[in-house]
Amino acid sequence: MSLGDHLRFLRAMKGGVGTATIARAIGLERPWPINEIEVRYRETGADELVGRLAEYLSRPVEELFWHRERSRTMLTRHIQHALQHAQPIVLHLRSGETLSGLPAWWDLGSIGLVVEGEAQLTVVQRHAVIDWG
Amino acid sequence: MQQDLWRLRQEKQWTVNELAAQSGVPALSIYEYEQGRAVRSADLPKLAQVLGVRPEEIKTQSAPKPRKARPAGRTAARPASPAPELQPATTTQVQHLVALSIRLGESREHLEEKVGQPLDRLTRVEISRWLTDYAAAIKERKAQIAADPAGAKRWRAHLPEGVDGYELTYLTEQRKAGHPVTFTLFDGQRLTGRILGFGPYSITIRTDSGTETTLQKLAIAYYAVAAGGDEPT
Repeated sequence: MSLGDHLRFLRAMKGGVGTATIARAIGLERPWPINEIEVRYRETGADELVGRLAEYLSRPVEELFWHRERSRTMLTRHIQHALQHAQPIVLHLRSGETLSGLPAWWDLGSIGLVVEGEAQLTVVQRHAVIDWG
Repeated sequence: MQQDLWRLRQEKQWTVNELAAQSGVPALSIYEYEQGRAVRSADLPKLAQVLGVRPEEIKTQSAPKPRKARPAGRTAARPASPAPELQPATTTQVQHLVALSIRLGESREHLEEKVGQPLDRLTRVEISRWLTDYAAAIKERKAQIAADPAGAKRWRAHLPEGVDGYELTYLTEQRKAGHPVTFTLFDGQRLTGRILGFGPYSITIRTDSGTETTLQKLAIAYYAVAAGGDEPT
């Protein structure tokens, strides 16, 4: 899961606090550096900013760095490679479940997965994917 | 006495490229002149000068240079390859066919059942026909979606979780078909219902009890047509 997706999840867990509120709390003039982290697909977020966000959200900074390394672009590359070579992928989800199967398609918001043992296509939300392999 | 351009060049033991480099005339032009095209009047003095002859000694239209005879037995020495209809399908062809079938929601097993044999036993010609059929089926499906006023409208939401191309197609199909879909949420809760509509960030369903519920996409982990949900009722 990308840092952006994780941040939005943490914001939701914190009662849906807005990025403007967080920006003010951590000493930013404007919220756009946080917004940028949330909408970008590549790895983004300076160390200092990530550190301040971790402090505000009461999370270990290593947790946020871990998510920063798992950008949406990296997930796309992984799925695309599997798609081209007809190889199965394993998706670990935020819900605690693990799904594995052949990717049928992917787009910017979701992944169509032919899950092993399931007759129907499963549409996995990209923002639910914590890790992959 | 006038001579063919290629003969004068060969006397100098130059290649076409070497003559081109010496004279400043493009190699392609020289090649064409040697095949019989009339030499441009502007190129004639340049060629004559480096070849050490007077311009009028070069034929303005050379007789085409005879081709070298192929060494005897060259063709025979090459190992004979089987005719295309007998050559086995390539790995790439098989992978491509599997990928197309998956896009149509079919597993490899289902595909092999349709084909009637393992895919790697197909010949190149046979698999080409299957590839053509599957490509046409995908094209037809896209056309059907595009013809639907609701399906034709594609929007790309600003936030990453928004409905994008493939998901839009999938949701449109399920809404039209009226299949019950089971949604699994982040907290493990499951809801089953028929899709009434959807927007960039939410999907509204009606459960069997008649309740309408709007699910925020951010709360959804995954979804699929409910078991047995695609069977006719």
